[in-house]
Amino acid sequence: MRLRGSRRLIVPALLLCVALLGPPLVGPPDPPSVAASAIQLLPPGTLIQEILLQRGGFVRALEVRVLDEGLQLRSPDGWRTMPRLRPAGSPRTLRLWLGTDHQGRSLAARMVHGARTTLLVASVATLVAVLLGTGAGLASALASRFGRGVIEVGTDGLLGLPRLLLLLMLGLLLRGSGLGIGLAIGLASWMEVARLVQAEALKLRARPFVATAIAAGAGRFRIAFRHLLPNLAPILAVAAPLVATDAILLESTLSFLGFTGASEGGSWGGIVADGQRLLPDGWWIVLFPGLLLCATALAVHGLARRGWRRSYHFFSS
Amino acid sequence: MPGQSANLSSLVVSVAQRMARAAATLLCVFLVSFFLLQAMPGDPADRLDSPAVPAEQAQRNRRALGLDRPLVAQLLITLGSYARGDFGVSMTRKRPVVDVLLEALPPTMLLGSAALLLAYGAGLPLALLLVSWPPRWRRLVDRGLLAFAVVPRFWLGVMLVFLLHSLAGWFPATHAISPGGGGWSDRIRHLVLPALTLGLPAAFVVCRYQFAVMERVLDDPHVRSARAGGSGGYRLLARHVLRPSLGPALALFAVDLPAIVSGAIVVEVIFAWPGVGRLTADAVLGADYPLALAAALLSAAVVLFGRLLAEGLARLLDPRQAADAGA
Repeated sequence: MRLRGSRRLIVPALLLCVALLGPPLVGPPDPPSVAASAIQLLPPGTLIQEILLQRGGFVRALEVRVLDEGLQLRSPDGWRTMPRLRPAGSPRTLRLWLGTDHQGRSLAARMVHGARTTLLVASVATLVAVLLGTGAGLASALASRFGRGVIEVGTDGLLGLPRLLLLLMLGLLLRGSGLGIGLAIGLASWMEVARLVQAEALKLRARPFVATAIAAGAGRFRIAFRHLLPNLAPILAVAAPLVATDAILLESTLSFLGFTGASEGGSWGGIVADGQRLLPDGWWIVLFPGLLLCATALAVHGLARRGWRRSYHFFSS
Repeated sequence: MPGQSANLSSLVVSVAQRMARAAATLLCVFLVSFFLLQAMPGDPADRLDSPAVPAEQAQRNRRALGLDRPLVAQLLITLGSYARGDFGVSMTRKRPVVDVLLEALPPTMLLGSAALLLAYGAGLPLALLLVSWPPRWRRLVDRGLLAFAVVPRFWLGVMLVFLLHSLAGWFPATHAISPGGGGWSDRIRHLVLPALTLGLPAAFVVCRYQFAVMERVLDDPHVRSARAGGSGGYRLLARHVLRPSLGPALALFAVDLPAIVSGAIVVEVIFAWPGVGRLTADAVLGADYPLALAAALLSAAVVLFGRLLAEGLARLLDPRQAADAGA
């Protein structure tokens, strides 16, 4: 049982590693190359050559020749001589497994950088949604009848607005960084957590141990934090991965539509948007980030406990 | 009969309660939308101002739109005009909001009904087929269905456009009708890609949910006794498994509706579909307060209405619920 549980963690843990350690390893997504045009829109699996420059930085081309008067680079159009470039060392051959985009950037490097945005947004959104949702759910379970009605109507009102619309109206936050986007998505998705928590807390409140605690003179806060909250852990362990899944999908949708300011090109959705403009030529720029996005969403969704996971959930993207 | 009148009065009370609650929810939506829109960067008068407009003119514009008044006054004025049935004039389109929305409604209803038809018309039969498969495949089926349900609509849309428009050239990728007009076949060809993009993920959600419900019903005593009585195959599934699981399917419809409305916004933006979703996105991003507010209320009303409708239908399908509510 324990083993099975930890196996589910493999893919998200890998994502975490890639997001944290990947960017330094693959370097900046856009190489400071003088001749980026030499490797624009290369299909996946193309062999290229890379050479370091004396002034720092590097140049990539389909083929690099070192001559006395400078460098000779081969692009799909033909050979070109760059007299002012002084190489440091000899050319290195490497294979770009996922190809390049219209600016000669490696797609794989861009996707690794995008993982950072995804991870940041998903964690912030989940944290905000779980905190707010648990607070609202507990409050409504312990409030008077009227108070519960008020909280329920408020939750229903926010649920009645389609989530994407709510997010568009939180536009002030969207234009900020990944932190702001995560906050906006969290503010737009705590309602479902609140509903789950409220239902569970009401069930718990009817149990004898809570009645005993009340009889022993425990106040509302003590009931909430000592008796209800620890027992809510299982349901939160289900709700959090579901919220995170939705947050990942929503973030990519928003950056695809260009509604986020900061994550331009630095998010998987933004990469797909770039690729869409290059169709039908640059199909790989659309295909691979999308597949990665679906796989990540599935892996995060799989963190929710089995059985509970069946409890329906919809993706608002 | 006394029992019947008690039943009727409890029905009236529950309907009245629901209506009151729906009204309160709509008011809540109104307040949330109003304040969120006000908090957005920029205001509608900014759009009218160009650098060439002198400062007094800009001030006059602001006053003409009522934007110089305090926030609470603006709220009360808007609320009052809504109560009188006056939804204001769109700031970007310079036409009454009602006209603009009514014009955009038919394309959205066409798209939405096509997508819902696809979701339930494909999702339910597929679930019926899958549940008749050997039990040892069930986990795999569930995984597969989830994998399809999780695909984000924007990516599905781009891929469908690439495959069916760019490569195959079968369907047009944007707009609801060819420029210069076209007949029914033209409209339907334009409808295919947006409806697939909106409906396919929903179909997999429906199928996965229905599959889970029917799987549970399969173990029910009444199915076992029907089986013992010699019933089997699709007859058993349709009569004893599908029917009791239709109620949950309706509940799903109510919960899934906001997700579909969200999806419709994405799909309409991608496919340049001239519907309410794209109008709403434009209005919110363009700070067209009256239009955005009315559109938000409209979509909330649609969601609430769908929820009430699903509850009512579930009562009709399953008399036990009505009995529970009456008791």
